Amino acid sequence: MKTKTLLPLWTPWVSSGDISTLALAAALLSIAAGLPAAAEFSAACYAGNAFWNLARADTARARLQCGFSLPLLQILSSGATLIACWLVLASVVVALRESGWLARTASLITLVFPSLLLSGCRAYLDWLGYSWPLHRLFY
Amino acid sequence: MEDVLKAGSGNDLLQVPESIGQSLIAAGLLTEERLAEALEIQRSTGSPLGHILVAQGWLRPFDFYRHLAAHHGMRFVNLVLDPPDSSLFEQDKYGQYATLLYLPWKRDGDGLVLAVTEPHEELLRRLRQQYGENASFVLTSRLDVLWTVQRLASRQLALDSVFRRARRDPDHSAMQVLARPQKVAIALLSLVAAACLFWNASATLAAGNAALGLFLSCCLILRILLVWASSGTLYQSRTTKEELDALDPKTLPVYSILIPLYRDAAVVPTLARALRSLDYPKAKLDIKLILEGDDPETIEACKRAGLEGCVELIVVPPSQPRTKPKALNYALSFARGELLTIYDAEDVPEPDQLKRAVLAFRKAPWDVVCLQARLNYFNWRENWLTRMFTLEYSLWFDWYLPGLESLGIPIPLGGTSNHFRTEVVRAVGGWDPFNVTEDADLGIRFTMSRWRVGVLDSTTYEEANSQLWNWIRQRSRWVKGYIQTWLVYMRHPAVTLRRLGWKGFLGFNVFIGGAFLGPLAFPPMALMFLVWLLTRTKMFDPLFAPATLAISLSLLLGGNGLLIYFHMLAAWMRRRPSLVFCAMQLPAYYFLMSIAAWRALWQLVTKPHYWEKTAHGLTRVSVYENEDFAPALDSLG
Repeated sequence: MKTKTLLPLWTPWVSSGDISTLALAAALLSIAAGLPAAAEFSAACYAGNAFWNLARADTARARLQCGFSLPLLQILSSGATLIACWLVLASVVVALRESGWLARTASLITLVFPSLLLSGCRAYLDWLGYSWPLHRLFY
Repeated sequence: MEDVLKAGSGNDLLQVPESIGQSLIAAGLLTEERLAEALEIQRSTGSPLGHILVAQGWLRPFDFYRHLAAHHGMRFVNLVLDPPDSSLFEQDKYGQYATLLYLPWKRDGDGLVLAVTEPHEELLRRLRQQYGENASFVLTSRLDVLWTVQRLASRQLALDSVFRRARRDPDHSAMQVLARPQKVAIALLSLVAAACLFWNASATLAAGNAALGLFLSCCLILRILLVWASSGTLYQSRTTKEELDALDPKTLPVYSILIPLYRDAAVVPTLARALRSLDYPKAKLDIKLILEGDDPETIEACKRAGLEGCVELIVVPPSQPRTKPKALNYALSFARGELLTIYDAEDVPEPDQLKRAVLAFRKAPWDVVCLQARLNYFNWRENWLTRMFTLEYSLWFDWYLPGLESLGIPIPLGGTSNHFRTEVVRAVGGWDPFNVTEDADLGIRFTMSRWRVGVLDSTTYEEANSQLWNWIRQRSRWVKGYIQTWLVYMRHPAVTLRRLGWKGFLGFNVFIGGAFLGPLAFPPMALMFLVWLLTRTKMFDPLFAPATLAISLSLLLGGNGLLIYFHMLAAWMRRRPSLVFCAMQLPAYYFLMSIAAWRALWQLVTKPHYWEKTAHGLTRVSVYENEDFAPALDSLG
């Protein structure tokens, strides 16, 4: 595995970590306020920031944020565009950061596993005949 | 002789003038090159030349002390051939003899003759104050003092190492498994449960199921919080490379290393190599190999290993309980270091770990009295069990423990690589010899005493258990120890709450409670789920009210899934990509943990203080042949 470091995102008034927290809080507030577009936008910001952090340095927090950003998009997004963008971004970041297919596959799994878990839970509940409580809160 | 002793300048007489070096060369005990090397080490570390020569193994202690005595015109006595008058030996002062390295030897008219090994002015003044101005001194070897103290005080040492803690704080000793109020509470709870079952069995079981679900949810939430909290600081060093490089060896304190060994003859060569690899001035190391009197193979292996003079053998006479904490207590009396750490026989710490600990202690607030280094396994590739074990340790030590530290929750220490301020360990009475996870107990006790425990950014590589039965025995002991620890600190919940605070109290209950309740609950829950999945029976429906069902399903799906994910992340951050895929097999590992947990519960009733010895040296993998570690470990070796 190799480490590549990109230039830090220049944010004059707020740190990168704060952006992530703000985006997550905004998404939750938007859900509470019934504002689907705002929630989707906030989730996209959260995911974008997580990827930016991951591309800069492979820290545990950045990987964890990235991992959770896809299920967030799955829950809050009205279409598949953002999810497709996420997957492309993930593939690019993984391909750039890691060398060897074992490392790339493992890296990708640590990014997509929460999403697989979410989908698996939903499929299982569907199979049991229970309603899925989280799926598309607005749609 | 007085004049000779007073002639010692500001430092001590062990700051041997070079002339003794020459006399040692003349006697054929030392070469010119070795002397030059020793003087160079002395210049860089500030250690006395005598200590350096002995610690490096370049001179036998006996030869050195004999020459030192001759050089200063003192009489040299061999305490084995000319033993001290045992009536002068005060049993309650053995700790003082062992740490200051002296003994009352004989009576000479009105005064005492004291055998000393380090005749520096400060010690002699202190001894004259204690034993009278007419006390006189002879010189002896350090090992002679240690062996004589062990011989003359063995009974007192054995008694103290077993009962000191229980005498000092009986309420927090595991000598008694259940206190009387706990027995009453358990009996009452059992009666109430039986009555409720008789009155309405399904409602009672449903309530129990809901309570278990809620508790396990709390465990899951705590683990999510721990992972989130530690992910922000994961692998952030308390100490930097620059700080390590800038560390002045002269300022390093004496470091005691306690290594309990029992039936560990096979791993002694690896241990010797690991000790030699430590990047720390040898003259400032005080290494104690703690051996059991009825284990001649390991004693012989240690003698054959050609260990340097900084290594001392402490032989614990056979007695019950035969536990590691008892052995540690025994050796604690002999520890001379300002700082102290424990390693297991098969441990290979990163070479700079001691220096990192010194730096971390200097930078930490005064109330941080213990630093737990990370533990991981060098033979993780060996088989399925070692892979699972490594996954578990990676999450526990790399993520959970730093998370506990940052959330202010008591940290249950791991069994090895705990670095302490020695005086504090003595102040709390050492380890509890009746607790089979004495390490976890000590971590909680520090927090109860308003001290803090931190995590050290250095790893010790151990041998993962590669055999199933050996693993189950080890895990049974751990789970039994967690139950013991929980019972000890829940004897007086109000006191524990007051001392730990609400966050620490809840964290302790959920983290330690979850460590044994989760594995105990797993088999019945899994069985119920499997029966339902295969038969779709309605038999279990009364146990699951809608809310309980939602909680149980969340735990089953989300909870297990998240734990698998956290293990994946832990493997990834340890740079072991192949382990990421193994994390999916964790439910099978949980099943093994459950077997061990139920065995532990049974043992708690039948053999509460029985220490199940884990066999080491079973692996076919050598840490020094492992490409992951060899370069780093050998760089300084």
